[in-house]
Amino acid sequence: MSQEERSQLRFAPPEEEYRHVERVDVEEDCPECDSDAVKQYPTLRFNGWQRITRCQDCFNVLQKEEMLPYGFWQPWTWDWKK
Amino acid sequence: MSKEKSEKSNPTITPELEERTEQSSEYVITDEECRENYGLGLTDAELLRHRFVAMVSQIAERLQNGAFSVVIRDMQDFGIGILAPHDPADDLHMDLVASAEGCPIHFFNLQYKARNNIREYGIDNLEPGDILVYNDVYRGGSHVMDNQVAAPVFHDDELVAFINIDGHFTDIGGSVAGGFAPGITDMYSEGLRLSPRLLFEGGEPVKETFDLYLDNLRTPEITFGDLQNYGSTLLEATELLEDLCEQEGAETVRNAMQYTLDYGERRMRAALDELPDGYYEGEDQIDDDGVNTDQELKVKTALKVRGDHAEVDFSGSSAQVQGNINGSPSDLTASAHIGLMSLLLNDVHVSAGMFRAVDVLLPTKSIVQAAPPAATTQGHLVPSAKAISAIQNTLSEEISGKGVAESYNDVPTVAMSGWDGRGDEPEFFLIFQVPYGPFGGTSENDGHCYSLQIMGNCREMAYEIEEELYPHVVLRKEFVRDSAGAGEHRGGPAIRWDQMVRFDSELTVSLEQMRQETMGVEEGKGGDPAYIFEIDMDKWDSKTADQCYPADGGRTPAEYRNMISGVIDTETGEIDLENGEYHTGKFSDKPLPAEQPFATVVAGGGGFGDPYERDPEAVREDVRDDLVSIEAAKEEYGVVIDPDSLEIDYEATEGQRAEGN
Repeated sequence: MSQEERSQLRFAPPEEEYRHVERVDVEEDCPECDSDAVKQYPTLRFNGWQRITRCQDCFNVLQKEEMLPYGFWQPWTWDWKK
Repeated sequence: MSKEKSEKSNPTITPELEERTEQSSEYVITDEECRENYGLGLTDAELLRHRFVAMVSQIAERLQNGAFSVVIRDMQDFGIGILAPHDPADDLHMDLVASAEGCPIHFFNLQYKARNNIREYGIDNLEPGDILVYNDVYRGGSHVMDNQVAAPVFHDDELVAFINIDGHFTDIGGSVAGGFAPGITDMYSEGLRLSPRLLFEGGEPVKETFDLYLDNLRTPEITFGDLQNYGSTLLEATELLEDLCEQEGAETVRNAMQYTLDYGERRMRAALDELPDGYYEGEDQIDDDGVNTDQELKVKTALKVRGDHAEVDFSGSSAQVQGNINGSPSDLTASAHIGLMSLLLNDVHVSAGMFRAVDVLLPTKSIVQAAPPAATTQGHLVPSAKAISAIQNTLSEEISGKGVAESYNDVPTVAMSGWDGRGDEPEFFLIFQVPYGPFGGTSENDGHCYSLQIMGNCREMAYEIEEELYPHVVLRKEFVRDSAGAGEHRGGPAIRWDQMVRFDSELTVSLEQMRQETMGVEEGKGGDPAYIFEIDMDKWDSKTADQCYPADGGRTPAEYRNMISGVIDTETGEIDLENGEYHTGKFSDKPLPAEQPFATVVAGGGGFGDPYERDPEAVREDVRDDLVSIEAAKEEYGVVIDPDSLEIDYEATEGQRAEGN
């Protein structure tokens, strides 16, 4: 883990009144339905946190990437061997 | 077999059963498919699926019989799960295979908490007889009072499953007895926060872990008993699964787990497929965070359905707050699943297979996914309850075929602590209560009158036992007249709970749904908001009691009350949502003098449907049961009832309803 990642054990409070999950546009068409409404975003699925690339029309998942196990935070000692 | 012959030999095949059989073809596989996919006949697979559930029930019974804490023993505030092993190549991720009795939010969030912590400890580091313990909110937990233990199950040196128990500890240290502390502003003040560590190693207790608990909690005698009970229960539970593997073979058990998970997935996907594709928004409000009491907060949900898959997006929810109502992702994900399943699936035991069809989006640094060091003890309850409500509001009757109005929409907590002087030596006491309340009316029935919010499903301790254990007296527990939301199917009525402590003590409360009525749906009306008051003992005497009770219908006249919480008209002392002043229902360590009665009044349930459509006979029954007054019968329901005979004047009722429409 990088020093920058290790430093995040406390987070400053947010400034906005409401918070949102950002869905980032992906320049790719859905292979299932040809839609260009493909976005990438983090989600907590049945098997843990994943950043998925999903067609917003048919919900086909084009790609999935495992995130940090706790979402956006990780203990400093996560990768220590016992 | 001819139809005539089949009907003679199967006389119980009704049209309803035929319809259900046809519907179940969406998710029931054939014996041939079962053998091909799982190496098991369908009957064997189903027997094992149910056997997993029966084992969890057996473990729950054992846990409760040995528990010391009333929260586990009497209130059933725990969850138990059999989890699959961790083998991603075989699509097994320590998923919840079976759950049974207990508190739904515990077993819905159980696998998220388990997976993170067991993996952090290191699966390969576990040996037979080891039991891990952990409670950190930010490691997938709920709040620090919920401590989870996990035991690996081995068969022939192979790790075949985990068995986990997640239970609420009465105290976990921290700045306020009981742990629920409105007013605190960070996780450091809330109590022990534990990364995964061994509680038992090879079946033997680990001194350092026991010391950590016993040196830091206010109830060490109870905690010591419960930690031991956790250990003995789990060690027996692992034997149950080991025996099953011995009888059936580890491979059969593993395949049965796969079958169970896939069955759950098929059931949920079939249910989602019945919903029209679409985007359904909902939201619910939180009165305040216990610190900035002038700021109302919001949990927003957007359910997106595409075929047999869904997303629940909490975007638009309030940012995380200073007070202790910040939620965790495992709790809010569990709430999303609970909300959906309450309307879509009500006849199948929960497994993680059902979670495969629903993905949850949680904005960071929000009240549905806070970042450290935010405080979270009440976050396990308040945003979770609101999320469930918001999702139920999202799926109206038109969409889901079922409609439900808002419940009392809270999981309140009341804690009283002090020194019990009844014996020869004073003894510290800590009473922890979770007031129950009504549900909202539904498309089929009136709202259930008295239960815990559906994420809880806990039991209430018998007052005789409570008054024996603690220096505490329950004075009144009753419905409040005219507090239920009117509707064709009315909500359940609000409930007031008067009690007092015999010695000086401190009172800590979190009560919600004070700023607004609960929501009625489909022209149903809202239920009364919640409030808290003390009886003014300078004015109250036995004569007053005789005058007021029971004629007051649960509403003590303002002159005998000192209001503590609610939206209060400061001149009259009455609840006035339009012009009153808001006083928070979240406070810690309020001094409670000996024998000072106080009352918590939870909100009434919302009504479903037009009140004028309610069967007049049902209204008369409500009047006879003192849930609805004669006046409200006429004003709210248009039913005119003679106050002496309680007979319905049908002609006048027809006129009243025509006039009202």
